Amino acid sequence: MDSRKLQVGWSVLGLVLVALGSVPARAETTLWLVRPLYPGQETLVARTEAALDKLMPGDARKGSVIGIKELANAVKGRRIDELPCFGSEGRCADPIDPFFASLGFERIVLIEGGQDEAGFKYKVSAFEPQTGRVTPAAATAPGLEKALLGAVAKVVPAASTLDVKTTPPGASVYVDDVKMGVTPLSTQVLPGERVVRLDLKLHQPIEDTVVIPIRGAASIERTLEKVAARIVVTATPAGTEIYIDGQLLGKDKVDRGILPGTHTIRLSADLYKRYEQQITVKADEQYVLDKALEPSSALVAGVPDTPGAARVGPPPTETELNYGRHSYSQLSFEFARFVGTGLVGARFGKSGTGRTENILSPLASRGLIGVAVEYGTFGSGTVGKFFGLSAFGLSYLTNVDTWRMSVGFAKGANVDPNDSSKTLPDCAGATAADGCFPDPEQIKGTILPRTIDQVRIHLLTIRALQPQFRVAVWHFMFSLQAGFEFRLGNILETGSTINYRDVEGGPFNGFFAADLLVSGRFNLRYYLVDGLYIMGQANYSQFLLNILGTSTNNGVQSSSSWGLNVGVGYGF
Amino acid sequence: MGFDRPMLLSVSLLMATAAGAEPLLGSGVGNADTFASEATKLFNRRQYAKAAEHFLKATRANPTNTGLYVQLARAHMMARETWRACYAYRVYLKSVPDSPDRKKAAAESDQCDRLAATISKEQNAVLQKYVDMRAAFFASLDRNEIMGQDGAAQSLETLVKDGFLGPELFDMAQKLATAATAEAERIHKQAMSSQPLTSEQLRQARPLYQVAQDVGLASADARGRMAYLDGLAELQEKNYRKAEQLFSEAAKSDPGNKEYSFSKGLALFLGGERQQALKVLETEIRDDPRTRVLRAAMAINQSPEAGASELEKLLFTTRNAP
Repeated sequence: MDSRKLQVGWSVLGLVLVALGSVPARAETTLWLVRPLYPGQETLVARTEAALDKLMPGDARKGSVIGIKELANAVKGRRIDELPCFGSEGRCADPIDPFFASLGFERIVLIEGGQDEAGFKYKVSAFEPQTGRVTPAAATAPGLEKALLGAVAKVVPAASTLDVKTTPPGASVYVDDVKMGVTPLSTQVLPGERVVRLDLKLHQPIEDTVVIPIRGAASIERTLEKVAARIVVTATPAGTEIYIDGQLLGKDKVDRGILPGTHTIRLSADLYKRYEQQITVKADEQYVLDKALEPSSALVAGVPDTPGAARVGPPPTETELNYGRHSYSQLSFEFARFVGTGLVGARFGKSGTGRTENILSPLASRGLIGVAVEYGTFGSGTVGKFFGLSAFGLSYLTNVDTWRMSVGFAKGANVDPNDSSKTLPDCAGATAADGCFPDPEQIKGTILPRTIDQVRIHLLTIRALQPQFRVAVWHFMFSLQAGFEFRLGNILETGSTINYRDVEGGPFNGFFAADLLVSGRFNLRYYLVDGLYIMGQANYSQFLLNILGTSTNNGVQSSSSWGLNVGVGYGF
Repeated sequence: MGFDRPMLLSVSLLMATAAGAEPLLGSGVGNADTFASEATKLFNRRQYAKAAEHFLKATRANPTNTGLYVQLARAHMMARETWRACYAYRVYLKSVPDSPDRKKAAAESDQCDRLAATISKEQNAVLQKYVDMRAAFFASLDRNEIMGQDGAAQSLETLVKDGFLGPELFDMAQKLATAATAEAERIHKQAMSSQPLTSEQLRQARPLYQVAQDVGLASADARGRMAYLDGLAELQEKNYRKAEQLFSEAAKSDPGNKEYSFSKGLALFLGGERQQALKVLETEIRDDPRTRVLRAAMAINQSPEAGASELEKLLFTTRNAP
């Protein structure tokens, strides 16, 4: 920590506490009690009490009782025989305020202090026994005394004065970049840490951090140095180096005197285009330059984690560039195949008993082809760098060759309507009129066939919010994702004779499958230029259940599937 | 007020004694069915005078049971207390205009009137007194004058003791109990909100609650409240032991009332038994601010370190903003 700032902090906290404690001991005694805010931080109590003690020297200390030990000394030898609310007359419900008033405390400050990842945190309650008023406040700061001051300051009446004098007078006074007036100046300001800037034309400006005490006063008296000419250069993004005549004079802002004549200004920041300009400054002139550098093409690719923030240091590696891409979209061609032969579909648009069961075509002609699209996103920070989501993915697949499929009937469809414990016999071509079950389905007296030919299937696979893990190496990005997916399928006869259709001539015919699967996908992406990449993907989808609850009398279930994708995408 | 304190005290005690002498009406008198049953047995044993006494008690226990009046009348008749019998018949006939038994009762009443022939001067005076006392009762209630010689309580008591009959006694009792309880509750409310009350004012509540109790319409809280208010009066007179006993009785009647529990501890505190006071408060109202303050004060008296520790706990528990 900056030792000068620390010293100022102690001094100001001292002033605050002096303001609170510099009162007649009996009439205005302030009790300060400290407790840890978090478990296991008892040592912070002693540190806080020591800070309070150190900051109240001399007479101011006499009006203060700090900590439980001093409280014990304060009540030593006291005997309490009468209590508020404890009389035969003048009873009351809450004697706490008058009780503490009777102990002689004008103000009691309860402090809870703790330390966490944000620094020191103080929660303060100022209790006035005479009025019963409790004023809470809290503050967090990297340093103990600053956090303590921040919290205490909020519960003490604030009326602070800032006096500024300069030689020569007439300098503009800015407090936290707000112009307050010109010197000599006496103004009221809020307590706390304030940045005061003194600015006078053709004089070297002065900027100083001053901690304004509570109920106190702060003063600044400075002599401003005259310069022959002055140059003020302000540059963005943060961290931009400012060179004048080849000499590095600072970053972000340079405000200084300069000899009249010709000078070269150069501004430089990683991932931004360098800027250079030659200027001529005349005597008694103030030259002002405010410049925002233009991003280079590398930065446009989106390397920095924080938008607008410039990198200071070496250029990013390809791996870092890859990690800097937080989302992607891709389009791919897919080849897939069912692991087994089952594909169970219920009748589409009609409550028939027929159910597709197995693909009867040979293995060589069971391939599926289609297209897939996917969009995914990753976060920022350590976790977001590696973990993200495949937000949405959609695949359409159809069979390369038309298939031949077997057709069964829904489980339980052949139960005897007159005796549910029996099933109707399958009498090979006989109908319900014969006391038989029309296997697999009967439409207007015709029993439909147990196999269908020229079958075309259309499959739509939908997945969303699948967790994804990625690792980038050079131009490559490996990723693994897994989660649930839905598979919807329409199974149609496309031959000259369509058996399984709605006889009323409706628009729907064939079968409909709706399955829930769990799938895993391994992706390999290679970045060609900027965010453009080519990709390959292997996937496997394990069948879990048929969403419609469709099952066949033979116990056939739909199959799992595997697939391979190749395509292109773009990372943003 | 023009009364001195001993005189007021005596009047209060007299009123309390008079009001609380015996229950006049309602369940406090006894069970109406039991009285009626006993009276019927006595009647059947031809002990008519005693039977009339029991039927009278039954009407006091439940004035709204109109059937008792005709039985009372018959008992008086058989005991040759003709005038009382005729009065009871008239009360019955007036109170049951539509009863199927009315015709028979009316015949008996006519026979009774023929036997009585003439009403004596004294008997006439009694009937007139009933009229006057009843009017006085309602006039007192209108003036909200409940206690005292001219109070509604005294009028009702006179009526009952002089043999006034009728279901309207129940209505009168209800009105009296409501007025008496409201007045007593006002005093209790003032006491609970720590308004200054003299011991005499505090003691006025007991006879009021007692009146409601005597007419069989006491509130469930009355016992505890009487004890609490009397306890406050004793506390003012520095009778701490007596006060503590009364507060204990109050707290026992209403364990959820924090003021009763605190007052018990207060009586012990003022009586010098501070350790015992803290024990009582710790047991009954542990988190009450008064208990916390007493705990801290006792700790300070015990040792500065213990005192400081208790003060710190008290402050962080009650005055630390969440």
